[in-house]
Amino acid sequence: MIHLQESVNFKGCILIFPSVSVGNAGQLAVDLLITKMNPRKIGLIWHSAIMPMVGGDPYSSSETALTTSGELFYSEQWKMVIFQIRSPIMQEKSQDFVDRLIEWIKENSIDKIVILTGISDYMRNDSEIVGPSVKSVVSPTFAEKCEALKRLVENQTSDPQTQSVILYDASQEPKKISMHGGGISWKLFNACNVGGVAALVLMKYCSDGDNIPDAVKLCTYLNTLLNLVPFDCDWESPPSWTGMFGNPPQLGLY
Amino acid sequence: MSLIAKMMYIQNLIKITGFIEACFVDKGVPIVEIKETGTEDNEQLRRRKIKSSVIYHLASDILLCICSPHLDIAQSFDFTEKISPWMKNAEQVIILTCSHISGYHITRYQNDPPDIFMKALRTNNFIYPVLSDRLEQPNTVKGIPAAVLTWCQTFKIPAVLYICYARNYEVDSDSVKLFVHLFSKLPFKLLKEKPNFTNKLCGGSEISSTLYL
Repeated sequence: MIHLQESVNFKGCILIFPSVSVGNAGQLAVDLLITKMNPRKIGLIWHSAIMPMVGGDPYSSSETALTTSGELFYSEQWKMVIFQIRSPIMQEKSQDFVDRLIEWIKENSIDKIVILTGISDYMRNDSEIVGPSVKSVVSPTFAEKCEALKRLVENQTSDPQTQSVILYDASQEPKKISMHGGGISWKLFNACNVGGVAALVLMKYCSDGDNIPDAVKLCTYLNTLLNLVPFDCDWESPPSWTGMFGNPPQLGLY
Repeated sequence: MSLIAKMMYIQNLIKITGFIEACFVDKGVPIVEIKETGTEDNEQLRRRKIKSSVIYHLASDILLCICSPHLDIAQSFDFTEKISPWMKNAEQVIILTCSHISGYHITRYQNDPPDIFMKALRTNNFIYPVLSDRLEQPNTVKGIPAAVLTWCQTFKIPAVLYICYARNYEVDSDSVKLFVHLFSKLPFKLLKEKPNFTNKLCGGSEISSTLYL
């Protein structure tokens, strides 16, 4: 499923995975991360679950490199593997995709996974509306490895509706955390829990529209947890975002 | 059969395919028929007039694959896997497809684009001349052409995809000029000596006008 173009030692790395979800928030956030951190492309994904798509290089208007719908990037500096998925994942084949991904993560001794996703904001109840717009669902094994998360858990309220961090593991009563609109986020998080992979889902409440601010919020929250770049940095958008909302008018109109 | 050097062509839009097939391409010998995966048998497919994809063997180590217009985007992966044995040892793969001009995105103010034009995408290891401009961001290609190019990129087979943007859905001699020009630049014979415009075009999904009876 994952075809690497070079040999890399992933032991101890953190994996960032964008779920194809409402507003494409996770995928937009990954675009910002890649533009900022400039990791190198190291592999491609070939699986029946990912609808095929090709285009030019989204991170440079001058490069001629081909882009496909599923790609891997690697940053030696941050020991980070970043997936980017650019097209829908077919639900009927998503379980096989998730199972193979977990297998690959364990084979390569990847330390933990962060799933970035948007979730439907219209599903919030009243207390959630006044609560934080970014919530996280985290396995205890991940929380132990992240000091910033531990502090968030200690300092948050006891009301689960307004908590920003929800601790969840496979040994608890099986109940599905609401990730409505989150694509395969829940499926992947659940599979990580069952498979013993430390996992965190960062969810941003949003709806379809201009989701750039949602992506920026996800990146900022992730940066708070992982301390990747200076806190006050600007998240630059890649060249592929130009024309996101349609063509400019034809000159012949004027 | 062992071939030293092979190239493959994959055509997609029914109108262009039908016109090119009937009037220009000298198809050669069909060697493989690729049917849709499903529960329908041959008789049911024939009654629904479902056309299969076919691989032809042309002269001098060239394979030509003409895709069925009935293939769904969801079948792209499976179709590509089916034809991959022929692509595995190819020297290069050339993919041809079309799209309506409304699908072409521009990012800056410019005059109206021409009625018909061609763009290209290639794998990183494609070393042969590319016969049209690069398809620039944020434009993308989906479906079977994308699946084939992705497969070639993944398994390191040199490949190029040519996409023709046209203003009309109907095909005429003007709209196939670009393909004729492309075919004439390739280093092997693909065109008939004299195009035969009397051949019946292949059937497919028709876009019928409701303005006139």
